[in-house]
Amino acid sequence: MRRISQVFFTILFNSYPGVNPGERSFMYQGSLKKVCVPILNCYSCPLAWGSCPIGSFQQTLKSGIIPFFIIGFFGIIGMLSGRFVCAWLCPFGLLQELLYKIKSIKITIPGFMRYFKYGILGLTVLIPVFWHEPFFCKFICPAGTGEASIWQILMQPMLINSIGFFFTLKYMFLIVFIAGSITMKRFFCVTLCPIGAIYGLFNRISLLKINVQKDAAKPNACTECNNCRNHCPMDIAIYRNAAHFDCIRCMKCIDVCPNGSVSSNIPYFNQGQREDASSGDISGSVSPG
Amino acid sequence: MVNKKRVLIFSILSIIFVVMIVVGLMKNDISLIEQFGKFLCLDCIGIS
Repeated sequence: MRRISQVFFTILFNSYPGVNPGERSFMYQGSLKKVCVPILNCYSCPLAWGSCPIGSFQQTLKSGIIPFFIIGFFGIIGMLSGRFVCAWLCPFGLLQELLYKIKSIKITIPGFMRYFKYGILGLTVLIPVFWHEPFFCKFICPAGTGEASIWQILMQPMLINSIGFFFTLKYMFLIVFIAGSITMKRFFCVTLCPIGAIYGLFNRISLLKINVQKDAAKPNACTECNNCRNHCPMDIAIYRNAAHFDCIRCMKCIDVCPNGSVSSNIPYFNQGQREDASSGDISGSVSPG
Repeated sequence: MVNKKRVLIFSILSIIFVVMIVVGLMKNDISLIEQFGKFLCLDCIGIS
């Protein structure tokens, strides 16, 4: 179901069909660009209908204006669902999950690297304010390179005359991104994504929650078998902290838990719970499917 | 008790974010976003 949702939203956000050589600009320029999508999706992509929230955020700050609307937008999405959109809507998350399926050496990301994205978020806020440069878009964003740059340059070859240091830097980072995504679980989301960093701050208080049954007296108590971590696309042990800032609410842990210890406060997501687990005495908010 | 505290934090933050959205709409942030989105972002494609 999640894969269908990811593909659906990837197409929904990136299906502008009007690319034709007669246009001066090879991208959608209609009024839908007023709308920010809630995930990382470059607005210079020839197929994009909407605007990138982190790009708009930085450009607004760069202009010396406080981006009230975008801060409120991030806040409301985070309050409702935490990082849910990272798992169910983000095309970049889908791409990384597909890249990780390529057979290769697999590496576990060290725990401290999870905090890098908060450094990136800090620079994403401070550099546009003090140096008037969109730090994340200019130096890092692999979405801009992969979704926009390659295609814009192919369609407008005269842009090649303007390439320089930043172009090389961004393509080098794109290579690092691809290599990282093949070898590490959601490498970019875990270590660098500033949007994920923002939403992650709300995991503790968001409406959508994950619960883990830790009461040993209950028949569905967590045994810490680590099956959830082995299947987790973000490589977190949900039983240690059900509101972990990197939990993207993919609900995979609910599906794979052999005891039915993990559940969501939204009954729909508990339908995937293992039937053998749900046949016992399931307590609390768990609604076996 | 923890739940009450969470509900309070949730309520306060919700109000703050809704107010921010309203302020943003009044300041016409939407038009600004549209302007940024309509034109090719040279920084995004590595040309600047």
